[in-house]
Amino acid sequence: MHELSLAQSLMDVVAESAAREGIARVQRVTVVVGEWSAIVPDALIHCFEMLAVETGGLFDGASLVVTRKAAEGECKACGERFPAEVNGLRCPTCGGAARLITGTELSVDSYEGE
Amino acid sequence: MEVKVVQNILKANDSVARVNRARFDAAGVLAVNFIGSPGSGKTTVLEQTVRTLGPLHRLGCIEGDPYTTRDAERIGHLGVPVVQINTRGGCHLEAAMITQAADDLDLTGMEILLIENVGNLLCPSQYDLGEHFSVVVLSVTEGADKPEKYPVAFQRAGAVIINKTDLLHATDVNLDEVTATIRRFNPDAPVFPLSARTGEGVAPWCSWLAGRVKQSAGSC
Repeated sequence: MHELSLAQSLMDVVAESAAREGIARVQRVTVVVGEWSAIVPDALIHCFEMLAVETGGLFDGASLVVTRKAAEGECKACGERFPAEVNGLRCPTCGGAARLITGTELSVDSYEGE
Repeated sequence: MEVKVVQNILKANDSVARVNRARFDAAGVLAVNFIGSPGSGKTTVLEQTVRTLGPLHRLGCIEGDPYTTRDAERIGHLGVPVVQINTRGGCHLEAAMITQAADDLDLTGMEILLIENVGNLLCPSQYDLGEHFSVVVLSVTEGADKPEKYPVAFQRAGAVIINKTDLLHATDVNLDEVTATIRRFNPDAPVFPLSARTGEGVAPWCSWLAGRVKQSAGSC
């Protein structure tokens, strides 16, 4: 629901880095989005492309690649790792309470530019 | 060339949130972020909380709402300083909005700052406001499967309120089952079934919250 502002934020992150690296044109940005981050990848891509056209310059013609990351729990008692989508944060092996180790990521991984 | 960044997209919000939290800590204020669906009864829960804890603690309130000032007026009538944030259609509060609202509140002597987020279980769970913990308000009329549909809100909650228990008889919801589902996503948070309308179950919730004030004061 807030993909537009996230697209803007991720472009800010890339722009800041590109200025440091002396990059004038970004071709492709890769972001990591956890399954539990409440983000719709297609909407994020759509917003990114729209803003890229709008801002032009650095992001002219740039594309966005979204890498999804599954939600994974780790049992605090027995250390078992398991998919949280299926089990929530309750260990399927011993029934113990687990912590979420992946699944809420929302980060710029890398970008390509020149 | 490829440039590795690995940076949180919400970094800008998170750093503002950290400043907010430091400010609340310095003022000795416990900040609590209330998240829930539209119509889950967040404002009624806050009214009951204010009625119960108002005579004992110095409270303040920040009300997030897309358009109206209705919720702020309801809390304001109870004699608590309140600031309204209108997001103009925006689906969540962000840390910078809280910074501004806190400028309009006198934090001196305040013990609990109640922040009511925009009615939505998705985005608000992504945005740290600088609160010390969030409380999810779920109502029995929403059905039993909300924790599975919105795992992050529940997983990050410091407490969960199951509201509208006076309407349980009109639903197929079983309180034990909902609690078990919440536990699956958040084994640690206390769960408070209550009816903000009748007041039943409000006391245990309020005494738990009051206990958190003492804890945070003790840690300073």
